[in-house]
Amino acid sequence: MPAVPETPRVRTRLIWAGAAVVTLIVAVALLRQVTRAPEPDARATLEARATALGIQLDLARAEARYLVLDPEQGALSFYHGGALLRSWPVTEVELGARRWIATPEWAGQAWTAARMDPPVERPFRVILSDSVAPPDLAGAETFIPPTPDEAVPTPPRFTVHYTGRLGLEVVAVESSDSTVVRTGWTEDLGHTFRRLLPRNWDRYRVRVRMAEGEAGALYRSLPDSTALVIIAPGK
Amino acid sequence: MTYSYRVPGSGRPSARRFAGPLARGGGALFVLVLAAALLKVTVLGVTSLAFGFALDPVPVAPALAGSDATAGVGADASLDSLRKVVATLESAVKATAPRGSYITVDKHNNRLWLRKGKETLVDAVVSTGSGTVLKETSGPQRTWKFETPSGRHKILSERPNPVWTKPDWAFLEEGRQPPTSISERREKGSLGEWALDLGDGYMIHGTLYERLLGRSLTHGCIRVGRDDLRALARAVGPGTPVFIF
Repeated sequence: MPAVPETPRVRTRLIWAGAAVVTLIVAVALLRQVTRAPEPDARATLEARATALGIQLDLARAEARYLVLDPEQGALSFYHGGALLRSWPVTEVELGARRWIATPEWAGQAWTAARMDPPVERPFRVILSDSVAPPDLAGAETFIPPTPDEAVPTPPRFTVHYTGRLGLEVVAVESSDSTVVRTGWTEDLGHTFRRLLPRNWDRYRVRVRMAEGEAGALYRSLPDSTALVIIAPGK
Repeated sequence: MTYSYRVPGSGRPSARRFAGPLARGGGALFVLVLAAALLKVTVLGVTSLAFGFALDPVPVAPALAGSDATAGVGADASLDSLRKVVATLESAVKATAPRGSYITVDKHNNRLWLRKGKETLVDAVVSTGSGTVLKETSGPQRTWKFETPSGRHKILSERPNPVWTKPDWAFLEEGRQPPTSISERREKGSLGEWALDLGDGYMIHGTLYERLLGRSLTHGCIRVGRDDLRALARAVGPGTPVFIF
């Protein structure tokens, strides 16, 4: 006589199996967190610095535009060739990868093709010559344009995506004279969902915190396609 | 499920008919909400642990100030040679920087710096191109976009008390027809005390409207306040690199 499957028992087993899988994932993730590699030693730090400097040298000689994140200098610096264009002080740097991915050698490559998210929108006026009335007072400034932070408001956090699925997340640290546009929960939700889009799905993450004035300036002025060099050892 | 019991002997529903379902429904709703909350917490927790980022803090400058991770780690010969490699590379990178002073302009934040090596000699709030588009609606129907050009430039010449020869767009945007004679195009004083010529009609110059510095309103030139312009004119000359981004 063939064995008739006992539906409740199968269901129970399935539930137990599901619970076991979830427990395993959680345990592995926790274990990864607990058994994190120790602080990078002097050799690793020096090797990383040498590798990153080699890459920076190549970019400088090629007259490229690139960012250098050097935690030791406490700055994110923007270069054109060998010329320092601007430096943004950072207060905190975190490096990491998704829990199921091995951490890359941060200093081992130039991360390229920067793309800002959310994209910067620059408003501009269009004037038709026959629609302009001659001014009453020659040379007088009639239209007063907005300041940069009025024209391009800064989001409280933004991400620069690079090829190789690296995201440089910039978090603006609030100050009393805040000009950052605080977002509501709908915008936050939208931001969360946008991060799940395939084009925004990062494998590696660099999170830097900086004063919101600096973050705003970086958001407005970083050109697309800028490369990034990270001077920090991997695991 | 329906609740339709009646009190025996009565044709009207009892008050319990209303209270009962409310109490039971409320309880069920509470359990449902609790279950949903637990599910959300579990899903978010598992998702975050399994697919989220594991980020490690990296000590920034202040933390390293007292305990440089790369210095003074015993007398390891291989470490010493690594330090020499790093020092050589740092020198090589430094050697790619412009010799002498150079100007950098952040056109989207309206800032200008004059740098020499690691030193910042001038830090100025300026005005750059407005991004405005001017379309000529009659005649040759030309179009101009008033942007400050990005990239590497250099100062071609330095002129004191410059006279501006106004191009066609300067008249068209004021609703006037461009004059034919050059003398009618010449304007004294509007460029300030100095003009540092970058070529193609772009200049770093002064302004009559210092109160508007910090706003994007020029036709592509870089307007600088009087004191900063004097400092610039003193420190730079033809050939000085200008980086605009």
